[in-house]
Amino acid sequence: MHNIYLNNITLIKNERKILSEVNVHFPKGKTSVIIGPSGCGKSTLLKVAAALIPIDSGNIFVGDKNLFKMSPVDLLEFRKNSSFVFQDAALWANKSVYQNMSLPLKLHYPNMENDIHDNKILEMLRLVGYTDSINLIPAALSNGERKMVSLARALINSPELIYMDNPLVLVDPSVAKKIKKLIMDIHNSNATIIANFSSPELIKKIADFLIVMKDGKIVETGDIESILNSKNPNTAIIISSLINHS
Amino acid sequence: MLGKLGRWLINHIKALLYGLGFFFQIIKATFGFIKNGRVGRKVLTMQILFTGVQALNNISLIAVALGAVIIIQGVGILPQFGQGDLIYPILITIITRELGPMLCAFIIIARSGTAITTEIGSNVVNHEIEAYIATGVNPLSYIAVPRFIGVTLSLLLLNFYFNFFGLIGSYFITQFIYPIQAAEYFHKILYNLHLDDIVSSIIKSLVFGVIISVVSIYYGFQVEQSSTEIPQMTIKAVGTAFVLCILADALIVLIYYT
Repeated sequence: MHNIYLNNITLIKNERKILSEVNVHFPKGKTSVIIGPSGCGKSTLLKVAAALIPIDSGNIFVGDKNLFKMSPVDLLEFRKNSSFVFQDAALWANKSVYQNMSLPLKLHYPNMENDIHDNKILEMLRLVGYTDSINLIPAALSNGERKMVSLARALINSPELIYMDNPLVLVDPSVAKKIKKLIMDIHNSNATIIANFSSPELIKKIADFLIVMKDGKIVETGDIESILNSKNPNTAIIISSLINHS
Repeated sequence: MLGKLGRWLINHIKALLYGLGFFFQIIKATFGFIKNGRVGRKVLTMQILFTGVQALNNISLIAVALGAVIIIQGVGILPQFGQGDLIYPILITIITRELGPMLCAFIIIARSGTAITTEIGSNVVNHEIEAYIATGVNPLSYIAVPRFIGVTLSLLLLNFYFNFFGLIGSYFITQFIYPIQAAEYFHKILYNLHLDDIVSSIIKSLVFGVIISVVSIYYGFQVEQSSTEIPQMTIKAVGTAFVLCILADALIVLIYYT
């Protein structure tokens, strides 16, 4: 997976600029964390970087390839090597845990043998700490279990690039601890992580690169030390509110 | 006033062009699905099961009842005017040409059209569509096309059932009230049933199937972020599908008779 570049991204919704001429890059093999006050466009930027929502202007490059002009084969390859962890799990409601895990595998590895396929699913669910039945549908799971399955689904194809939209929100401390440990493991595996975390502790531990946002605009980007010691008043306010929040 | 009218017109033309673009995207994706739709085949099977098979009871009951009513009314009234044999062309015109496809369409709008818009709308609100895109699944191929094919094929099949039960089933019900000789009844039905009746019925059910599926899918994807939009879009989908089906029916009849 290459560096990801967002060039002049603008997104307007209901005549309101959600993202305004955003220019940012996410380095390969590093953990980039987007921070900023609530409603500043962090989740939207993350979804735009993953090309999940349409934009009004701008381009997204994966290396030197424009994501919007990629051939279907290249785009499928990009999707195979990347995954997205949603804030609200976003499991497919009409599919069981097994089917939620199976779809990405079947799509990208259509010739995988059944026993390898099933073992891979069980292995991933064990890894995230999910121990309940694989035949349950998402509505029958607790919030924490849904988050675990969502993480397992995101990791099933061993992606090189993972987008994470606040996976720790609305989970109890024991599940949060498991998820944090898992995120640390992913970070240590040299995968590229582009995330929006609300946990200052986690940000301090794993962020290589911080993107500070306010009102749909990038205020500042840089490594964690430079951002924490930034003289930019907006950055200082955002950092102080993040630390106070913790 | 003139400015408002202009904006209203521009917005409606934009919406129409967007809808047409959406329709052509579905048609394009349908070819891709036929060539390589392995992942979405189960969705297609489930759609046919829900739309085509589970609606069978309602369709058969309505068809038998309607056919019986027409026969009973016709056999009671038409002989008084010396036109007893007119019951057969009337039966075919109503069951095969007009009400068969139209009633099937109305039942499908009420059952499957609403279900499709609601389901897709919920998928959008719960970010399931984004999860499909992130996985590499094209929502048009995986969600829209199986429903498009499923509803269109199911409507065609339901129309066959409707004709079967309307023309044959109703005969047996009528026997309790106005016994008619079976040989005479079926001979006259076949004599009055022409190829263009069947073709017209097939064309109508295919056109209605396309309208219902595309409109329901379109409005499902129009939901943006709130669950309160789902019933609003469902109402719009039902209203639009009803109007478009009736307009298409009028257009087909107009083309047929001119």
